[in-house]
Amino acid sequence: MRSPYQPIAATLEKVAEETPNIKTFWLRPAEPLAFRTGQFVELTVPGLGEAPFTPSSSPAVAEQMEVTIMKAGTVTDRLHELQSGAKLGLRGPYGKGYPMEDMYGKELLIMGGGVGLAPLRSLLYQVFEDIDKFSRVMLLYGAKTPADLIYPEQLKEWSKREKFEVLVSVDVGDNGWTGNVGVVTTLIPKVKLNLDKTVAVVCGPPVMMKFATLELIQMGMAKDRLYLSMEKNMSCGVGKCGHCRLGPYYVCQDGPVFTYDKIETLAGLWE
Amino acid sequence: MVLAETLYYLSDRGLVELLEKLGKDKRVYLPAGEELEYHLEEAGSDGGREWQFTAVRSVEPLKAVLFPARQDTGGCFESQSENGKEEQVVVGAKACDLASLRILDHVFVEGDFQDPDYKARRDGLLIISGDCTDAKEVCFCTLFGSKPYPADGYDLNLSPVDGGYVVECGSDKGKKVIEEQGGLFGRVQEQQVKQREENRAALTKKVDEQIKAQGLTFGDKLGQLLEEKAGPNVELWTKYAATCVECAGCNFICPTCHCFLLCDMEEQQGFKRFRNWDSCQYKNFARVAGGANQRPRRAQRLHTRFEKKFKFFPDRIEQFACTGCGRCVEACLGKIDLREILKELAK
Repeated sequence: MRSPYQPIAATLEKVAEETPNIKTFWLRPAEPLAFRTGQFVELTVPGLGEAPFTPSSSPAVAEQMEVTIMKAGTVTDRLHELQSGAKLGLRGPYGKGYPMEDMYGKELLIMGGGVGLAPLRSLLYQVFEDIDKFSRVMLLYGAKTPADLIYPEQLKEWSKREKFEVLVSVDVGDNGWTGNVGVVTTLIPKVKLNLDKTVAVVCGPPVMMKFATLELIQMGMAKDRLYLSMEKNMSCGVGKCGHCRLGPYYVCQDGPVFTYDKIETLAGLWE
Repeated sequence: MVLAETLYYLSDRGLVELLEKLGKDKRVYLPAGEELEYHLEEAGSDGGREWQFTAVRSVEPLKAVLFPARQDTGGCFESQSENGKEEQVVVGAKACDLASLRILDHVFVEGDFQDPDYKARRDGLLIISGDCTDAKEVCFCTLFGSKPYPADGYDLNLSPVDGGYVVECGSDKGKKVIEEQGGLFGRVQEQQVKQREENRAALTKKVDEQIKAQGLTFGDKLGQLLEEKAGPNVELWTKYAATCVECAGCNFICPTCHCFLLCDMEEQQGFKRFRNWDSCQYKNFARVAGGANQRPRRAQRLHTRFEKKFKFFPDRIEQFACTGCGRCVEACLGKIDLREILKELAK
């Protein structure tokens, strides 16, 4: 029996800097690792430990995986020091991911904050594949400063796509910034939402998700069409270690994506 | 009186002989101690220490044998360690420990993923349980509908009677032992079974009276009371958590607590990954990279322990993850008594 705790080997093929504290890592697992958008993997730095990440690459590609990672702790600090050629470990995919079928036929509102755009990029690649199933796609993305925006070139490309509206905002601008200034929720009034036809997907830091959620709910967004990505402490990823429990759920198995109606009353939701 | 076909008689001497035989190719754990303080210890290679039928559960929970505190889960990128392969025998386990198996099996074996080490240990474990013949002050198993004698979950169960034991066979594994050691097991007498039933009834009454005297009387409403009154914002969590020193004793000694942390260690070639017990009472248990923590306060962590035991598991598999063994009451350095919390919730 294969141990669910044991990773397969993966080679780091390329590293690119996105912002001063965010990098994208191109990984080639020893055997293809297929995933559905929104599912996560556990990435091992041999001898140091592992941490959960949602790939930011297309779920159509199993041979190579991109993961965009912010420096935030022991494992990610070490990852940021690595060069291409490094040997890593991967296991997964885990969790349920985004239920694409439930989103078909709807107008899709995607809201990302900071490095939270990384898992959403994987969703966007899936949406590109299924674009005939959506009438409209809105991407609202916010970061602290222009230097903290990830995928700036792709954001420009995406805005040119048919059916796509891409709005970007920064909390604090700089001399060269001519775009929107303000937290990401200030972008909501700039798109005309047809709430009865809209499905919203939000991913970002807890405070961003909280205010985006409260804003959308106040506008009349249905709680069961608002998808949130929950970040909780995880160790095993397979529903055994107990770390990621949120009320009646294990985030690793029952999530990490939940509709708001399932979790709104749970203690520790935004922490 | 019709005697069940699963019942046998084993003399005191016969049991010692059985344990010696089992000890030849299996690792045997026996309880030993005095004054109701028994420790589960590995029997010597010479066939075992002197066997002692213990009156109550051991200090160590049964999970220590199935889910060791620190377990190597395998080497670098390899799928499996060779640990957990050998056959083991636990003798003298009590009903409160057997009740924990339902929780542990659910966690480690059921669902999409299996823990291979637990599975191997579980499959290779022979459980020779025993009736309780006394109760500790902290025992409250009957509160959760259990009895102080095993109803299921054992391979063989021992009920002490004059000169030996009434043995009940509870599984195919138990049946195999009886077939292999046929000469040791005799026909059970009606009088012996009667003695067993009388002992069982007397002890059940004792535990029932004990929990009644302690005010642990909720009828069948405990689940409902907990559902209604045990929310995260209840003031009593702050009150009871005030003396918690975050030692994790309650978790580690609990027969159903299963939380763990995977920890990696560098090796000359690659690394090793260990599965180590962890505790929801530790401050950083739920902390994520970047510093967010859904339970930074001790009161929140005490609540989460109760929520897991009395809401999460009942919702999933209709069983409280508390077997009434009272170990956490004995272990707590801060004198936090789970029974007092239950009583206060029921007020």
